[in-house]
Amino acid sequence: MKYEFQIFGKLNKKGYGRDYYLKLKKIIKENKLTNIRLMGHVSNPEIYLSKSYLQIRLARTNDPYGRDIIEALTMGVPSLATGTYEGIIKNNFNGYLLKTFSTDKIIFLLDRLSKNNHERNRLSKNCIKVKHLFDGTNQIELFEKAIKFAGNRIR
Amino acid sequence: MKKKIVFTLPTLQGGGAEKVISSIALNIDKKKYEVIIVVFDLSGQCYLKNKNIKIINLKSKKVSTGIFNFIKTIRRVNPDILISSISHLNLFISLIKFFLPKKLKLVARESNFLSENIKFQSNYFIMKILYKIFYDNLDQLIVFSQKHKLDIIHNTNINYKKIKIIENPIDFNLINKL
Repeated sequence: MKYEFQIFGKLNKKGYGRDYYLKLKKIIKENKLTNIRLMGHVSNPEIYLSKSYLQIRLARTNDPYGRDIIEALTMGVPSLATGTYEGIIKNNFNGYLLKTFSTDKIIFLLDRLSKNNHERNRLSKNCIKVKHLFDGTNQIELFEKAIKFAGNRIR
Repeated sequence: MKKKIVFTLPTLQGGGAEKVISSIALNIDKKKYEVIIVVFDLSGQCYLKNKNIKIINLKSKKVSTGIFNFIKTIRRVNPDILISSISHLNLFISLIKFFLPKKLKLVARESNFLSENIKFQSNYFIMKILYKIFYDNLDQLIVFSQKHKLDIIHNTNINYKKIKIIENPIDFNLINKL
């Protein structure tokens, strides 16, 4: 299977991140990597996520718990992320967690997924199994309760 | 009588914390609460464009340089509740508590593990000490899991009774439409 990679996020053309942005662009151009697209910031990531095969979510920090991961999970899209917190992604259950960044491991897992479509379906089904944990319909109510609680405290 | 709530963030550019706060500000019961957003830098805002919500732009690229303007604005607006997200802003607010109106209740939402966040701060030791001294000035802290709560207790001086767990939420109505 040939993957198409869409890279999302704010890669500033000016200021912070500029050098990294230009480096990525240069690598893509020089190697004629037509299957890699720099998407920049998008305000409706859910639309792109819902159509994804897998979310690769790498970070310097140990934070495999962002909204993007939860959003992907609720749509049945497994994530491959770095970190150790297993509150959302449980390694090899509904996605893959890498304790530390490793290009070799990422390639190995992408290769494994491409050779076995059942594997992706298994992860996806497990995402759906736990999505009820993140239902936000009562979030406002909980938030209002928290505010009320704060208001009742004596300073 | 309606309670006045100010939500504050460094920016309203794309990001998880910004999305959560915007969603709460838009959906909170407007019969009970008057909502105002105070943002340090409004450029590149995503989630509250063309929404019927009052936004005050402090026009400051950094929280540290806009903090005096922030205090002035909060004293002028005089809200009942101040809600912030993003941990360095939460810390700033806990530091300046005594310059803010006395009736004001401070509610913060922590969006990351503090132990991980602090690691990447340039002034690591100072930040660590400030969290240990001032975080209990908050009246309520919202975290997203039990493990997150333990991380906060370990890294700050906040009374555990002030910490409330609310899972990071997803709008299922939106997801189901996709």
